[in-house]
Amino acid sequence: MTTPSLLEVRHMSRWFGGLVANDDVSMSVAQGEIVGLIGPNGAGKSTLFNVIAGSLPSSKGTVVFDGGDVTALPAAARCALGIARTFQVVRSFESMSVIDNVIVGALVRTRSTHDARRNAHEVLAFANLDHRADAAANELTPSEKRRLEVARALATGPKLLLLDEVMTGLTPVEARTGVDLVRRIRDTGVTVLMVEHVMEIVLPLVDRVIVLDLGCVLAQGTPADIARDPKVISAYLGERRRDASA
Amino acid sequence: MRTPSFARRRGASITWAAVIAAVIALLPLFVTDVYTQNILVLTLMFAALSQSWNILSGYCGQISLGHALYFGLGAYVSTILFTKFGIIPWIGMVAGGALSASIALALGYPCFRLRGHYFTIATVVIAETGYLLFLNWDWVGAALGIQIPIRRDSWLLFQFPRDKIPYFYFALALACATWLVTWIFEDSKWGYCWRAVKDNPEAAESLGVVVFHSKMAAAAVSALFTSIAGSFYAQFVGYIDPESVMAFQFSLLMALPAVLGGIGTLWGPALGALILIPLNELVRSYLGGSGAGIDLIIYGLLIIMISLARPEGLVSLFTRRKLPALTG
Repeated sequence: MTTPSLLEVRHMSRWFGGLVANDDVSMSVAQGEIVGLIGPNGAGKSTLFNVIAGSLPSSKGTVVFDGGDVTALPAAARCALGIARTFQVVRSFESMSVIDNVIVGALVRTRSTHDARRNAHEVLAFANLDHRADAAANELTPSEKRRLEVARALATGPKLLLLDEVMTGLTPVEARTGVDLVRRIRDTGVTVLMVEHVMEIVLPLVDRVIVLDLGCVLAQGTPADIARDPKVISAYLGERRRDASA
Repeated sequence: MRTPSFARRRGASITWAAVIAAVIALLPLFVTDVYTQNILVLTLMFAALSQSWNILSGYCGQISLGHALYFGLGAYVSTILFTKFGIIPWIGMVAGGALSASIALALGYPCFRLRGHYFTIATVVIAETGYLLFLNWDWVGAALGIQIPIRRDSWLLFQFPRDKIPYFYFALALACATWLVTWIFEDSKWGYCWRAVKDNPEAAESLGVVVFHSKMAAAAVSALFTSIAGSFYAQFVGYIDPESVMAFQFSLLMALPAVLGGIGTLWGPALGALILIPLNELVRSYLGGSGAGIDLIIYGLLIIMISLARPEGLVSLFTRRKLPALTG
């Protein structure tokens, strides 16, 4: 491994009262990778995701981003450093237009609303959403709303983009567009960490998979290795396969 | 690129504002009746007040029902400085504004940790505490209030015992200033941050918006202009007591025009004030003392009608047609 890691989580634990959501999790994401974070329901994916984004403080352990310790920084400060995220349940600014939603993100890099607006149009074009720029955010279809969230996060000029189940609830055609969008994002030099439920989408897309189970890292490796790992199959894929064949 | 159309829309707004302000500025040529002049002054003042309230509560979404505190502080600071220390009201107005903005920041520090209704309840309680404090504070006249000594018609002392027109122009200037400040903020970093905070604080935070600072900035700007209007009102009526400048009713009267006209919009507060304040004065003068409370009943009816028929406020009647893209 010669690529330096962009993100490193070291011995991180997070508990809510007596409930342990993440237990001594260590993981890293290298510059330029697309990493998938998977695991059965309740495995602690969302908690880990929120700790990395800065929406939740960790109970123990450290988060290192781009060579600096960001454990104590709130979400806004991490965004300024280059961590952007989407939300599992979309959180558009509903009373604002599509372009204004994206401008909010772009303003983290500039004070000029003129520059932010231009940047926002470019990002919307990149996400194939510029034709909806003047629509109200609450009029978008669910898949457009997801793309808006991604565009808004991209407008902050991130080094690391955290995607929380962006493919969930999309039709197969929409999901293919989504996969294409994630690839194009990586091609612009942005590192991607994605939490995803839909295995058929994650495995072909990502370079590496991290599997969480019961709050711990169960396995990590290439998609092919993960798909063969017996621990993973029994914890996660096995159940899904059984469910599917039932 | 749609940027030019955006610039055109903003340009159109400010052109309209200039035309409307110019027309209003000519009104004193035709309106010589003192009673009507009085209504005009109050309408303009409440347009300014509601516009200031709208910055914190409309754009940033932090509904305050305690703005009477800043209004009262503005009135008291300029009046006390003048009556006790001989300092001209203009300096008092600036001092009151600075004090109100500082107090808004000091109160915001704990209160902005509260969300939604809890924040609103806190603003009501704090304003009521201020009201009771002034009601029992002998040095500032307690319940008796303070009479501003009348010297002569003078811009320096900002008093015109026999003339309403100078007050009219100041109120117009203040309404224009608050409108212009809002217009500038709308296309500024703060403006976008405020609307993002209003719509979804978590998402805003994830996009680098420091929610707490955004709320604090909105509160300070809002309190500053509310307080300036308070100092103006004291000079206009010449006599203040806690009941006439700090009562809960003022907090409501600042919020209602914006709610009626369109909360979080550029034109809502002015449009709302234009309807509500003349109505309020007419009801009060026709019903006299027996009408106490009737005005509130009418507000209540208006608000119910608005929230049923046009929750976005009356300005949506105009914007719908201008922006067909929004109806999709």
